Amino acid sequence: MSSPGAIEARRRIDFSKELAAKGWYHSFELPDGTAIDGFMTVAQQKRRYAQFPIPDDLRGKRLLDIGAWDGWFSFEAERHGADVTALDCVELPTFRDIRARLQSKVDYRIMDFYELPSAGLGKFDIVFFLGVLYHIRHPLLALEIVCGLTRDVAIVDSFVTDPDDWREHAGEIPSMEFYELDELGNQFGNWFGPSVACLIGMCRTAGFARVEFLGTGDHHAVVACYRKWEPAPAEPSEEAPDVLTVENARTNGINFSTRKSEEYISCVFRANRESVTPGILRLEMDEFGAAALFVTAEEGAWRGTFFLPPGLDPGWHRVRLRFADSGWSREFRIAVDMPLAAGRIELKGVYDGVTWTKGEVRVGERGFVSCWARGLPENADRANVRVLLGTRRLQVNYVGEPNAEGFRQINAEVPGDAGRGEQELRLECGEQSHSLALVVR
Amino acid sequence: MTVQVPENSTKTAPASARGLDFSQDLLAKGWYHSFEFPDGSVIDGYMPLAVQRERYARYPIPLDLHGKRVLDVGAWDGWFSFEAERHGASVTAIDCVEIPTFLQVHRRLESKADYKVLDFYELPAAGIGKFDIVFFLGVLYHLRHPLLALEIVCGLTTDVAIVESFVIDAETWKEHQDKIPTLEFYENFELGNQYDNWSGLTVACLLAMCRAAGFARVELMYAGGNYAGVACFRKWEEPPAQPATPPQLLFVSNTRTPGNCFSSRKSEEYLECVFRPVPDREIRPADLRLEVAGFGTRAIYAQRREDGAWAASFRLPPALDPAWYPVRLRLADTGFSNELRIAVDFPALTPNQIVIKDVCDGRSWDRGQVSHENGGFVSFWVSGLPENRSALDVRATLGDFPLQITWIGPDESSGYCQINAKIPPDLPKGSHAFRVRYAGASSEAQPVKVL
Repeated sequence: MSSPGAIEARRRIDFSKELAAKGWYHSFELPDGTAIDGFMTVAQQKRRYAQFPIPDDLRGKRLLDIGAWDGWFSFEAERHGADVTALDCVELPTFRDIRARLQSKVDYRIMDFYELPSAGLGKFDIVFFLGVLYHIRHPLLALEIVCGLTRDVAIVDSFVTDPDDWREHAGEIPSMEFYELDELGNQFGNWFGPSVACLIGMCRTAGFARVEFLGTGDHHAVVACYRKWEPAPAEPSEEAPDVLTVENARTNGINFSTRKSEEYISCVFRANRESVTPGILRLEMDEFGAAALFVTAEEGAWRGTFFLPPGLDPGWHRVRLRFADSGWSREFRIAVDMPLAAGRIELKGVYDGVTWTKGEVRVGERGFVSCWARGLPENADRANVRVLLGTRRLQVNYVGEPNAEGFRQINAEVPGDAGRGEQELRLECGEQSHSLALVVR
Repeated sequence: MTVQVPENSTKTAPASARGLDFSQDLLAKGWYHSFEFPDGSVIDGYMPLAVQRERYARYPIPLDLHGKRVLDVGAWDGWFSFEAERHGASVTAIDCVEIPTFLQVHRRLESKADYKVLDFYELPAAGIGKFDIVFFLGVLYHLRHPLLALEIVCGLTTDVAIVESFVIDAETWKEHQDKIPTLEFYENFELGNQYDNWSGLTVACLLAMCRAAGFARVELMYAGGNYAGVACFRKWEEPPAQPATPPQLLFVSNTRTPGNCFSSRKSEEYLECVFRPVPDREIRPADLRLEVAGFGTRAIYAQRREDGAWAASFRLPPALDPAWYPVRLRLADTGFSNELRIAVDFPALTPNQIVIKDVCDGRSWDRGQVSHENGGFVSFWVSGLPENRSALDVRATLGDFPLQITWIGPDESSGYCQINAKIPPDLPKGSHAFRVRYAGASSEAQPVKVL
């Protein structure tokens, strides 16, 4: 929490006069020998750039520079061979000036930050998000958007409230300051000042697989946010996990919606090791890693819960799991934002799930029915396949893979107080349905 | 969604620093809210009926809610929804998962409350319209983007939103009012041993965020224990019965780009208003009551201009539909000024004909020329532009060089409007063809000499 006089201290972080006098934020050394002397020195800029964990040779890499300002970092990445897109919320004549003088091919776009996800820019191997976060009203949303645009690594550099002493209060709950007006640097449009721990925590929460602290400087901190896990060990010392199910923690199905603000993946696996902690789990969706939130032990297996990473395109995605010290498990599939396209549904038979008697189910405290259905869409799951006994919706416990004739087994639970006698068992999916008679005993 | 840290978790959750884990209590009761039914039967939930009634009684809403639409965001078992319905309101209740207890009470009361299961961020696009009153009770700290959530709530409210939230300094907030408002960020289970609690605000932070979200007036109703309640109004209080002379509203422009056009897709859109108090006096932001589309909006700053008039900036109220909207201003002790209007999300229409009347140096007012030595400012008058005009749509060029538009005025009585622009420093001296283009239409060229 801020100390008395804190507002005055924040107000003093005001470089606007110096900036106005210089006219430039970035400094430049142009090929013809001319130098532009901005607020930040070329030496400082080069030091920052050198700190970024990115290859020297960026040929073939797409790079996005969000909030490029005069553009030094954009043009520097281009000089290293990157295909650069630079973005700002207003057009800066200084950027245009340098771009023309360098005959740069940088694609310069003017848009609001939140317009980025729908701008059709695609994904970028590397994203620079330098000195922008604290200007944004929704910092965690901003980091989610950055994560969704990044394929490999995002460099996040932001104003922080405690660059010099953050290690001293590492045990406290991370916090950030909120600036309603011009409290920070006498400037409107500065909204949040996170602590270093808060910045790192938010980057993890945004959906990056790994977040590395790179350093702090004058009122700021830099972190590298990776979307991928480090390579699996060449010679794993432990057995890979035996994954049993991968499902949506909200619905128990295999479908996920990116329109939901929080989608969690639940992964049940067996492990041939003493203990499993979140820190050793490496879940992967296609190429992207997801970190575990927590792990619970259940009936001889473990259940890990993971945040669905942002920026997944609609369609099927491969999911696999490893430990830090093992190879990969076998692969599962999840469906993201896929429509439910059911054909004509055909129910073949309904059975008691325990006795396998056809056409009836025996219900004590509860009962189980199994049925076989054809025509279900590929992404049918426990949430979107509805089984109704009369008008009562049953809990679906299992949707199997199709057999040779295309039939899938569906198991559902019948509550003990279900009405006895002959009833209609109806199976619905999407707009399609089919019913059979079932005697409840 | 309330997800508890399972007891057998191998995650060593940080000692639940904020305690407040009522999940065991809740589990034992089975209900969060308590109910008393017309037949006299009761349900004893985690929250006592007396507390629910005491909270409801504090809300600054009419006793009779007939004709009012109420939205209950995160209704849980639904006591507040059904209570508002009992007072006559037409109620929409939403939750992120279907709560069977809500449906159970809904049936028993034969309630007509419209129950929808939606993700919070799906609300703006859900087509449920706007509501006179919005209940936003105990939801804010469960959301990953608190300020965005309050903006969404503001955009759904036409009169008042009741915001209740967990806060971290309900008992001590008065002692540190000189400090910067803060919020805690809970990455894992730090708050109440649940992993879907994201932020814990100070009381000052809650009030500041409600203001920043776009509400005209924000009043703390109470703070105590570990939560605070805030009433957030979209409208200004009534003008005084004996109002002083209103100010003269001279001009309204978008601070991002000159002109009277605004975009609801931009995350931060501000209006700049130029006005004169009558008679002249000193102005503080807190004196100003701007109204846009019938909603109040707060001044961010106010300062006197060189010409003696005042300029103040205001945030564009959130979630306005595409339309023209009236803008008027009053001071705390006056009635409302004259009305001007702004366009929100209006496409630029192609003019029939653009005519340039005069082009002159912006400092010396010498016609047909502009001088680098005077700073390179040029003023010109054009007719034919539509009423919604933005510098982003106006393109003024000298030869091939585009000029930077710095100001666009309203139509004057002559039918022409003044536009000010700045010429680029590398524009060569000599005669150039001056042209104005707007949405595909172009004026005739006019020679202008650059000195």
